[in-house]
Amino acid sequence: MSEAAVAVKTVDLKGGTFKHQIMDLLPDGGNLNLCLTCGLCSSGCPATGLEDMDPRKFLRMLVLGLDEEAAKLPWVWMCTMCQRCIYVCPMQINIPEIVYRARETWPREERPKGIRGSCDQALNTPTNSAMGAKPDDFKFVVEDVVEEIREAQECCKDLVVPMNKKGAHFFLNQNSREPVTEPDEMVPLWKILNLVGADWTYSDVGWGAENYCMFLADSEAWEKIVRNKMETVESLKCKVWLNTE
Amino acid sequence: MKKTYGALVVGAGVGGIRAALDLAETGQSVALIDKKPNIGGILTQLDYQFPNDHCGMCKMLPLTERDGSSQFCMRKGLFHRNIDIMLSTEVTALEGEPGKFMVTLRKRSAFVDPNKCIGCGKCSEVCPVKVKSDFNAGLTKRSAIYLPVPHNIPNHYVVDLDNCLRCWQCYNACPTGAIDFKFEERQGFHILVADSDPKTFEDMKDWLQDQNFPLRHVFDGDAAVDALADQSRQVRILFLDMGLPGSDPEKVLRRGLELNPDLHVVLMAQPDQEQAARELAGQGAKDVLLKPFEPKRFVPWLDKLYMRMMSDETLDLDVGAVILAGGFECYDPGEVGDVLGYGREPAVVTSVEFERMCSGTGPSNAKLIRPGDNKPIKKIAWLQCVGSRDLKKKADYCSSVCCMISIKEALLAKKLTKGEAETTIFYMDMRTFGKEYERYRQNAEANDGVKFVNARIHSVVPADQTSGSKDIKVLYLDEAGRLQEEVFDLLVLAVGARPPVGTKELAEALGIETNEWGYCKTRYFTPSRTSAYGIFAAGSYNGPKDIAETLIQSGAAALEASRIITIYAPLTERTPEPQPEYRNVSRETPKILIALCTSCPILEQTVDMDSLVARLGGLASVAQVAKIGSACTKPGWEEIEALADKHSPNRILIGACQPYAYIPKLRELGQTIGLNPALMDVVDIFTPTAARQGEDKGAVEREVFSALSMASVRLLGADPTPLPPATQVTRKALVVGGGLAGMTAAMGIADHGYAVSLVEEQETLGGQAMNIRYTLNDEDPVKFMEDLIDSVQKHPNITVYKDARVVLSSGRAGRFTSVIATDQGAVSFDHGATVLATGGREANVYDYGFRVHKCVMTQRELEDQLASGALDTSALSGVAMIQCWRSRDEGRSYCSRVCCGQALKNLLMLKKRNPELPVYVFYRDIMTYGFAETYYTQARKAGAVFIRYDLKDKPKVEFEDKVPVITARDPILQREIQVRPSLLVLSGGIEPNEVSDLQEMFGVEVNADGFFQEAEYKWRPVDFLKQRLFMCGLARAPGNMSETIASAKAAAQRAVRILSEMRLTSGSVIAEVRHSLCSLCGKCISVCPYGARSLDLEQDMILVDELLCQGCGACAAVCPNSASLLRGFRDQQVLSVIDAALNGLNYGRARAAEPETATQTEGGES
Repeated sequence: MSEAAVAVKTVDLKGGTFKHQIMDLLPDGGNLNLCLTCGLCSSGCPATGLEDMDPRKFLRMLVLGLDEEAAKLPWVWMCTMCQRCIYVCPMQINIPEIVYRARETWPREERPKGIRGSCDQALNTPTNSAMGAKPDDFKFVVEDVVEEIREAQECCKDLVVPMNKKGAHFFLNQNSREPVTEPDEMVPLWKILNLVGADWTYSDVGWGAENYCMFLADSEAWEKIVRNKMETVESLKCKVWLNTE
Repeated sequence: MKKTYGALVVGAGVGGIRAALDLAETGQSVALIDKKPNIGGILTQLDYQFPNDHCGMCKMLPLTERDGSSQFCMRKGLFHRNIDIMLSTEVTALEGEPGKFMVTLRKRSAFVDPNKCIGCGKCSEVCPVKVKSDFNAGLTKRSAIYLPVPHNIPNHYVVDLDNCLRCWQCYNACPTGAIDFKFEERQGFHILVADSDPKTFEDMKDWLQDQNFPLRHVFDGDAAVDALADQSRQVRILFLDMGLPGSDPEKVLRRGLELNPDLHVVLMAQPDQEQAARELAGQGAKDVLLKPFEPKRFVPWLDKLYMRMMSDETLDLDVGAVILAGGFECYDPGEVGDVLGYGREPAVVTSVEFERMCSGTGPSNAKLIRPGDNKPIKKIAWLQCVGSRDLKKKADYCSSVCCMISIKEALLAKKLTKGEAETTIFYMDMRTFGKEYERYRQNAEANDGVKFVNARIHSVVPADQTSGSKDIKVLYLDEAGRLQEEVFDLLVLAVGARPPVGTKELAEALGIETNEWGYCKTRYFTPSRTSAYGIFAAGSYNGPKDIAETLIQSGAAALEASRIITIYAPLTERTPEPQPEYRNVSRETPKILIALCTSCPILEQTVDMDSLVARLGGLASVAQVAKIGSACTKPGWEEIEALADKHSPNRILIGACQPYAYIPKLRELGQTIGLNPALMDVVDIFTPTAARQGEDKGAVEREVFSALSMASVRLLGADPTPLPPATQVTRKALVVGGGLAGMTAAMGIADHGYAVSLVEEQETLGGQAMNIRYTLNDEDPVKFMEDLIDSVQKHPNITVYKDARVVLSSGRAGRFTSVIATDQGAVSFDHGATVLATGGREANVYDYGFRVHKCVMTQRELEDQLASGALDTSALSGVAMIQCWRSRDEGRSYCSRVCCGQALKNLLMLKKRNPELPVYVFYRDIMTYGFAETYYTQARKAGAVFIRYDLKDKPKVEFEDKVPVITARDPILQREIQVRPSLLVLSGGIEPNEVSDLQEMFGVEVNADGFFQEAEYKWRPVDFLKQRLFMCGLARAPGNMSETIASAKAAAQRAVRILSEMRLTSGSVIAEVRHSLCSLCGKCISVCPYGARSLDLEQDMILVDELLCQGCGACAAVCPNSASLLRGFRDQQVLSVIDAALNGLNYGRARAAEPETATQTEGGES
């Protein structure tokens, strides 16, 4: 947003529908107006400087009634939802929530293709893997790696990786990146669980830990995915769901 | 015996001290208590204070009747004849009513006898405990027996019983037996164990065999009751088992407490009996111990319990009024340590820790080196608002002082590194709202290169993890919105204020209310009154304040307390102390009596007393040298009196410890034997012996001899002519200015029974405050002003002159005559004190279409229209406000401090009437200091938009069809924006009224901005340099109604202090003129900081007003002819002292070559 490109703007605090939606929807109007413009959020934000934007500017645009413009910025898709901003905000402004609402205003088909594709992939697979890994793929990879480890490493001759074990205490899920591209990275956690004698299990369905539908701000799909995972946990009668994401 | 005081002051920081001194100086007796073992509060830790960046606490000491109090560094101690200081003391209960409160205090023992402790430090050396030192803000360690502050006089060690291991090593190491652990007394301290299980008793007996306690055992409840009833062996502690057979524990407890209400009952319970035991504890048992006991914990626990029971005291006082001055605590950033790295990175410190790092008594000897790795610190960042202005930390308020502290610290860092340090302050709003603050900031930025960055930093990480460097890296957004990464040697967290620990409990004990942030609650128009009548809030107790405002608040509290006490013992009716009559010894040959106190065992061990006595006897004019017992005890003092009686000396020199403690005693002695105390002196002969123990005997003796011989020649040269006679005081006051400040001051003085003339230039009373129609906190200023004017006009002691001016004023301290011109003619008025409250006005600068377009108005006009209903807020499309309109700019480089509050007040009123109305505030720094911050939060919450601008880029205002078009740059978006409101409201700020005629008449100064110049910004905020003249209200500095009331009351209290005396006597150290040598060059007149010198044209001589003179000696130093003299420091006298000191160096040699040569000091008479 270079200076020359911006004409003098007559401020209209009323703003557009997005601002109203936020103010009506969030508790205390999202504390939107409370912003002290101290910049704490932006000095800790990994997305600061991208597209010449930062969380403070985003919020300021909303305050000054430039909400429609702000919501349309590609920058809203660069937020990682890490919450470093709200963690320190002296006015407790929930910036990630507002960013999420901004994403929601985008027609689904205009949202970033990568995130959208990953969400759709997860919706279309019983594993909820954003990379589209199938139940059998996962089973195969896990068994393959276990075997390899048992053979190669003296310490791990008895390594067990339970799959679909009913009544296990912990249900463990897994980001699809590991089984699909870096299978060896799953091993350290197995070793730990084995060493402490944890009663745990994987499942060949509902194991995908990632949830791109949340990042896509597709609330319905987000919920659907979480429900599917929950059903898996419940069907295995596990007591604790360990989400490694 | 129960003691009675005029007032109890709780908290002995500067706020408490100011209130105590204000009352003590008017003759009220004051009990000054503090829960800490030292006075001075947080100021003991801060060596440097804005604006001159050094200390100045001593400037609080009385300037009149100086001899009634200590006249040395106040960080070292305080003494005033009307103040009793009680340390480690807290209030536990209060009953009664204003004028006759009954207070119960609890004084925790230090377990060290101050009369025996010589401060040698042996105890501390052997103590195995090491805990964080409070004094050095945790940067150093201290023992469990320690000096609370290193600089106090007297400085006695105290035992921190909570951290004590009860190893008794200090007890054994003390050379004077000063540590009192009540060992012998244990035999009379009976402990009863009531338990059916014999093992409990056997174990205890076994564990406690070294403790010297008589332990008894009973097996059932009935036997326990019998044992408790045995008066000859009264039980002090009862261990009562919950499963005791016979009479059940409840009965035993009840009976025990009936027999002895002070019985300390400890309930012993099995884990399953704990609940029942806790319930029973509610009926008067003091402790519950769960079985089984651990001897390692049990023995020291019991020992400490015994120590507290035997040594701690409960004191009952009758007091007229109570003043609370508990100060504030600093926020502990430990809880945000995870992001700011405090506690994890040694490079992250709090502002108090930084002050200690800069201090000569701090951890690094005033060298700026980093804790942890001792790296010299060159690059420092300050982060503001840590724990302030933060909803998340439940601190929706501004701590008011941190901005100035950080600027001062940045300048200090520059000074300590000879300008090398790079300093950056990260801030949200630089709150430079106080008098001279803005100029200080501007100078820091422009002249000293302190960098100010408007940003907050998110987190602190090690700069380079691989190298092991302790440097830290911070990320922040610069003013252009770019992310910056910067490495610093040190990050100082400007920690905010919190109410003092224990405020809640104290508030409950006293029945006072606290506000939502836990500070003592006071009302807007009665800023020093708590919710309980007769209990007042001084200093920072009702909210954080800087030193100047702390003292003003304390002065106001003192006035309120004084008013209450006066009802019971009116000051005007009090008979003055008889003036001591001293015999005139000026024609006698000097005759010195030297008395040496020998109570300390170390003295005789380290010094050959006979030789010392013989040598002292050989000094010039020494008539007698006597060894006496303890000079500080009654029999010891009687010995001195008897000696003085017998030999009738005309100079008395006492060698003892703690010379300051003898000031009141010398005065008494003077009265008894008719000798001026100025001809007496006490010399500390113990510090050298304690400090140089183990050294060669001769060296110590030489030092003691040297100190005594120097004092003896000084006494020899002391001027024996009597002091000038006391001046009669005209006990009336003149108050110039009939606004809120003047009227409040007049009421304060008149309520004490003194006549006041109140002179107002206008035809009506009220001044600027009459323009205020409502307040931020929903008070009714209109009614308040009506009532005040009514009270002033009806007050029997106040004469109001309206449409009148003071045209002439002359006279000297305590006795002025002024002429008031009224429409009825001139009136002459004699008065002893003067208060100047000439006020100020809203500044009008014709700019931004003001007075051209109807839609442009000042905040005052908007307030008026809102109050009268003339403005229809529903018809408005938007309102814009511009702050700092010609304030904090060229020509007016100060913040008017009321404008931000006024804008918020109007803004919230607009929003209340029309919530949808868009409001834009263009501002530079929002100055909502203290609890006003919450209104800034409310304003934003209500939807007002705040847009920062700076001086380089001010908002531009144009008009299109009479509608203002404001173009400004939003610094966040870095975009030009425009607003087209229906109203443009300007904050013009406050200007002082023109006072040049008064300046000339009263000989007072104004500062660069035209406000009255106080004697000292911080320490004497309502005094003029010229005594008997006081200032308050807008003429002193901008302030809201509450602040104006506080300053007026503080000024009134200062005036009452003068008027409470029938007559005033000068101090014993004052300047004089030898007219025969004086060439009338006038150098002394201009150099005198107190305006005490004047040229009398009729007599052609320089006169010294002995009441204004403070004995600083500047005149004597500047005089080319030695015509200016300082009593007690004449040239001859000082030279003789130097001679004596040099002679002392030869002492060892002279001693070897007995008999000694005659001392070189001839009589010092001039």
